[in-house]
Amino acid sequence: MYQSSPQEKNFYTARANQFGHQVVRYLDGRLEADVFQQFRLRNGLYMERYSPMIRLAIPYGQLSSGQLRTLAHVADRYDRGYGHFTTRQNIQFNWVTIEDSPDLLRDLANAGMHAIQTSGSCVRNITTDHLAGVSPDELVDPRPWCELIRQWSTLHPEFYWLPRKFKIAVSGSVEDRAAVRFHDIGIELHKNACNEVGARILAGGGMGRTPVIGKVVKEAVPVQDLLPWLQAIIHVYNKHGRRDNKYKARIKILVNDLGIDAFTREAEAVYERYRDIHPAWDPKRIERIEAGFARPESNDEQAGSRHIPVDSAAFGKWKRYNTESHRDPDRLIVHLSLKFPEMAPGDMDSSTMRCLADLADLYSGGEIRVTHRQNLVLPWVHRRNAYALWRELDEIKLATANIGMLTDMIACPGLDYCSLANASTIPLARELGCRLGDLDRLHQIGKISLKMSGCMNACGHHHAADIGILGVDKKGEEWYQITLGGDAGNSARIGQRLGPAISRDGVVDGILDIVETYLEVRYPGELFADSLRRTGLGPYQETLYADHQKQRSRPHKVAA
Amino acid sequence: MQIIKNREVVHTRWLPEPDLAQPDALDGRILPLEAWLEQAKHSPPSGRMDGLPGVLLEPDDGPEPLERWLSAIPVIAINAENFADGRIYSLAFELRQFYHYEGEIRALGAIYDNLSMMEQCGFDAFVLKQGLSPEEAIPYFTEIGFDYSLR
Repeated sequence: MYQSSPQEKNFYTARANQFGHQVVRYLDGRLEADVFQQFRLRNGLYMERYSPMIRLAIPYGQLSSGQLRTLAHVADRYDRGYGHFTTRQNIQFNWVTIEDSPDLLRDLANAGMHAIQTSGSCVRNITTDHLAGVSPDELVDPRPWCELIRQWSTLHPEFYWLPRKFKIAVSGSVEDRAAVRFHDIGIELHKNACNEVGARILAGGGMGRTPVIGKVVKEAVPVQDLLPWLQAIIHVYNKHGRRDNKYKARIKILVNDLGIDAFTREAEAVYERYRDIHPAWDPKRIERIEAGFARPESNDEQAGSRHIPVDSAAFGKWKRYNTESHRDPDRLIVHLSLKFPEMAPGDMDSSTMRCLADLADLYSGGEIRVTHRQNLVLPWVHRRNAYALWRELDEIKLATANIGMLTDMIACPGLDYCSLANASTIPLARELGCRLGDLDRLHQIGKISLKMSGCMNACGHHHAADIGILGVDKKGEEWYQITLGGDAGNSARIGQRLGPAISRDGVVDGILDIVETYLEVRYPGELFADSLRRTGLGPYQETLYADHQKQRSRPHKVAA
Repeated sequence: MQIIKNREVVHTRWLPEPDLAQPDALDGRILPLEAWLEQAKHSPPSGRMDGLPGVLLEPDDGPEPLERWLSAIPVIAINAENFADGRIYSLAFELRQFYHYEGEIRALGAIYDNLSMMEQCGFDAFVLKQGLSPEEAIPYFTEIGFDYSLR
């Protein structure tokens, strides 16, 4: 596992101390609120509806068991005993105080963790494939490159004050599991005929209120030119991105305004200048980082009982739906679902974190991954330990066999926490979870992605879902806009609006109707996306609006 | 006037125009870009650092119009009142790295917490925002003291 060096830990501590100093100056009036805001954001601290919230970085979604225990400590010491994993592979704590947050950051620094640039208009956490290093379809392990970009972008003096937030994702596999086409910069790594690593660079993708699919800036950049190219693209954005309107400030607007060809020409000219002044490429640098991502030592040959009882249908289902093939044929990739009706999607309490840290030590080389679907992964499980692990996961409620199913839904925190939200998402997710039925029913329906956002900012990635739900405010009431046919992967698509928004009372039935319609129109085994492409929105619009238009598009009235 | 130059508190003779005692003398003046270009038309590049007035750039100015005079401009001041406008950092970076400007790059209206990053971008002189003390500012340059050396 990648370990922070002692110098890095000192750096994180210095950073926490710097923030502590800023907090003191803010509290005694020496630092103005609007100035302090900029610095607290760049240390992950937001003001939410009821309390400050802190977002901690989990670089490229990789956690060690020790780091997970640190998160459990943070949950207990500084929060209300739980945390919330986000769609950007980070974790948020919803009930912290400004006064305590420097101590929280110092505790993190001791564990080699930080909250640097987890919010604010700067380069954010680099995200990647949650199966990096273990998936059979991998071409290049993206993690060392993510780490290189993380180091390069951390406290980048020129790019600390961009027009708006800036998100970079890296993928190194055949299947894009990192949604690179929906990022400000997306990077696809590949190898050429001479086995040299190269990068395809896309720019200008994003979700938010104007969803845009990223466009190719360069098809194949040799690795020594990767950082100069990133530098050039962000330099052009920093100089020319709009600063007069925050809704038009993302790079996607600039790329669309200039056109990708003109943008690329501009970036190329800047790249030529950067290439000459950038520190010479040192292959040892990436080799040293790569060494940190070597396969973990595992001592799991005799980790648990191998005896599988005859009556193990539940285990069989779990294995079928929650595990997948590993590049090592002796091992499995195990997905842990954080989606069950009692908890908000992505939430986990501290005692579960500690149990899971122990299980990761026992069964997965001490390694855990956070996925952008708000679930976790144990990436190094030996096949012979699958049953023993399942039993232990089942005890801590981490064995729900719904990965990729309808109840494995993504939801932003919504109106329950977020001050930007127009509508609630967590209660809706809970209600949907209860109404969608039991696991057998879900397995019969098959894989459908359901994602919901409580406002236009689209933190729940609703644009890129088979079924997307967007909360909107209509005269103080919560309404929901439904989109169908979005996709975050290789054939990225933005979901199409189905029709007028649906009231809070009608939305759960509406989703259930959409599912029923899919079951009626699909060919055997046909995926939702394929079926939708064949039928178009028509059958869904008919179901949803033809019969029920009156009830659904009128504000809900309480019966007399 | 006290400013910070190369991490030390020093006296400067280069002043923004409104503070000037002798409005006709170019020496010691810092002019806004347009006025500066007007003056420069009458005084061809001398190659000497003290031959031209200083110039004041706003965040949305670029170094391009100054290019032919850069070796002779003694001071380039950049309006840094809005520290969150990232263009001022790119402007200093371009002057130093792309145009190899060697004179003074002075931030006007700097705050303590950004001094180190501004310095890394090429600023070497700082006029602090009103109410801030140059003496108190010096330790902020070394608050973090870590860099990944990738830039």
